[in-house]
Amino acid sequence: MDINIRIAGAAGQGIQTAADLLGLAVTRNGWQAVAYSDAESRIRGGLNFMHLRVSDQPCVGVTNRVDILVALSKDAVEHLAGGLSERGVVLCNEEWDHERRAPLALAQLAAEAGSKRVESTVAVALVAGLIGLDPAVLEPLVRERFGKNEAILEPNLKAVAAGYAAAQAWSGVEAFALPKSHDQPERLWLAGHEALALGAVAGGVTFFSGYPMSPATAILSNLADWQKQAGIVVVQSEDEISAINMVAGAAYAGARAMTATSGGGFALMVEGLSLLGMIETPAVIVLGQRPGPATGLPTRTAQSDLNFVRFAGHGTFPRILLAPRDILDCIDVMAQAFDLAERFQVPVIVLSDQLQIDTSVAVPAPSVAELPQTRHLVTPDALQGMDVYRRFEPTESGISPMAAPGDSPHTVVVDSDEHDEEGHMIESAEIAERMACKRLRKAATVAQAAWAPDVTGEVKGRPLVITWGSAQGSVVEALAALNADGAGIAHMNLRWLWPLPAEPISSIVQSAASITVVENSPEGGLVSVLREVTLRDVDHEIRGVDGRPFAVEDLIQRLTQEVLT
Amino acid sequence: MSVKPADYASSVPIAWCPGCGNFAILNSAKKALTELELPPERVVICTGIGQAPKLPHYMRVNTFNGLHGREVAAAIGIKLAANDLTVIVHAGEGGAYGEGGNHFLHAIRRNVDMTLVVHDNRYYALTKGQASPTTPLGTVTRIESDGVVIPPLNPLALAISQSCSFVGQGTTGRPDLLVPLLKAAIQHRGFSLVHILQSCPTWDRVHTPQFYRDHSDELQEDYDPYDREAALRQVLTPSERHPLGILYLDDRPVYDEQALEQIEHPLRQRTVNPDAALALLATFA
Repeated sequence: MDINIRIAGAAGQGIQTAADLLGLAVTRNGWQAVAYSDAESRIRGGLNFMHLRVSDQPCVGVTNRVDILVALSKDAVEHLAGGLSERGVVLCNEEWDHERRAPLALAQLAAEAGSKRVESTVAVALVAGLIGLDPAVLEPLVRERFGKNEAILEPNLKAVAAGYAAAQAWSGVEAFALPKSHDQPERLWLAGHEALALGAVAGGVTFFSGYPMSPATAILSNLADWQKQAGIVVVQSEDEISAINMVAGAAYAGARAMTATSGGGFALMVEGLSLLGMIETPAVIVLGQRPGPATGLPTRTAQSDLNFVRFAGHGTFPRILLAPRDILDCIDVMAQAFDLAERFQVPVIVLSDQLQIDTSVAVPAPSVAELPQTRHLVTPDALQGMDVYRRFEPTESGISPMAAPGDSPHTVVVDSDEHDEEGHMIESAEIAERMACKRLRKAATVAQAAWAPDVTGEVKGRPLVITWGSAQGSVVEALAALNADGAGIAHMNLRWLWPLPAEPISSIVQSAASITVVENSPEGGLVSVLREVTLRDVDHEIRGVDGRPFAVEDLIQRLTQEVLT
Repeated sequence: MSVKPADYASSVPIAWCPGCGNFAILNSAKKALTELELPPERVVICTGIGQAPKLPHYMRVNTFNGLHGREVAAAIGIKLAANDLTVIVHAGEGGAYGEGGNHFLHAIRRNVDMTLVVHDNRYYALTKGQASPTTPLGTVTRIESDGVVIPPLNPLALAISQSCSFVGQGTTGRPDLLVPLLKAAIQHRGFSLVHILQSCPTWDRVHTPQFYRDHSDELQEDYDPYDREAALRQVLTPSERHPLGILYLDDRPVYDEQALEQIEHPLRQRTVNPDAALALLATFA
């Protein structure tokens, strides 16, 4: 059973803080949880909400059901209370009248605790009381959060005690009590942007340069927070063009370098991407997608940049596109991205999106022991032993020895012009051909490293649903529900998106009875990739066009109508 | 181990026009580095696109020849990753002040320890003679057939007004002054701008080396480069004559010294340690 809590109000009312506090509390209580945000692009005002799902079972998808609406503004009551589930209640200021308002005096409890500003903490405590959170969890958490300032801590502690007691004392409390979770490994309350940044640290990032842009800004903030502890040079650049060129320079000098941006910023970086291709310099670029074109919906979500990123940059050069399947996978994918980038001397683009970046989940603590730890630069000792060093030696694999300048008597030369083996600009047709062919051989080598897709269920003769990135959360839950009723739908998810060798994807796709792509984009990106790679047309497409994530119940309905009939 | 001129010798054939001012800059650059006893493997020259950016190919030195206008951004990345190396940018005025104008502004603010040498020949020479950010008013070009109507940028005044930590001017008409100017700029801790008035024998018959010899003055011995108002007077007073030497100095905090404090560097020597993520993960429980 899951309880859906929607905390809504104006920007600046502490919605995010409340959801985070509650999320961490339920995680420590041993429940599973996921929280995602629905926010307008503004600093104050408007109507925003955080949606928190809490369950004794795994829950990862997005839903439209609301069991407890915490309405911190009158607007929130008026616009969101209509969507309440059968048992649903509104927690709000007692002066705002609504037939579904639970008789819990939010404003009065806050006033009694000493400040109107603790209304959101009262709300958190009311929810905690309703769902039966262990009271021993909440108080220490509030001390951790507000303990630095006694004047703030005290009213918050009072708010927690009063809110929790009031909810427990209410006669309607039983409708919301969650069973204790039996499987209770130690879990972390982790957001997508935190997982992406942690993955970068695990992958050995030492240099970050970026320009703030939603939803990628949080990655910059996280790495800035950790720069001393993890030893990362973090630069806020004057623009995205500067960011990607700083990354290219730092990577040339031997740093593990990255940037993070969204569609518009990535567009500005595209010439730099082509530079990275030409000078065969590693870089990791996180693209936090949001709806376009142009500024689009800055605080909302989409998966509509796959084809843009696949073809971005003038000229022909290999690049790798990866997409984490979920928040925990962000750590693994980022760490692998740094390894792949340096091993193949290519840009690696990690495609995430606003939904994945801004969503938090309760996840078991990951192991990092299996992550790659090797650096792929030519060592100073090896360089000392070389009579001549050629940065672009045309090897059979297409991968040349990459050295950083400064570690030996050899110099390292790279050029955005077509160049010879030593990196000097040339006009010769013969050398131009040799270098172009070297890069093509490298592209083939990179393709051999492609990861096999995740496949769940028997595909042969069955309907197959195909996803990439953040859509898979709701899809997994929708398919679990449909398959529990005997639908027999298989699922394939791609974490490695490009370059994509025909096999094994082609065989998998050809053996399915029908193929359906679920992709949050007005025009299918994966649809065209699959057509190109497998020569099979997609039978059904479930697309997203409104900047909102797919909800589990909508997917169940659409898959039933469009795929199962 | 002393550094010899031969250490910087390159066999790459030079593609500049005969008589180009770049030859004087190339020779001065090599001489300055040799006299500073900096071995080629400890120096990175970062460039973009144009004629000036070909310079590092004509010497044996670490070279990052990137995109037009982006040379300063790339150089900042290089210096922050490898602050044990000497980083020098050579750019034309089109790359430095036109395409790369935003990077120039913010590089002055950031004050990373590096030297930007701008070869200003007042034309987009490689693309065949269009006006550049510093082309004088009224100059007739293929595109500005009635003469240039937007006034030229004053990069020296811009840099001094924003407290650029080192601002100097030289000319290919006085190569004897270029070596000491480049040496001082490279040795200065912080972002150094060296603006070089350069002759272009192909597109500009007016600003010849002789013209610059006749229309320039070395700054007087008693000139105080720490006096910003005096420096601004030098570059803002309408005059037919160009001041040569160190125009302005400002000992501001150096960005890379602050950014790299407590960070193990150079970054090329860092290992990959996934356990670093574990320590951070613990804070999410």
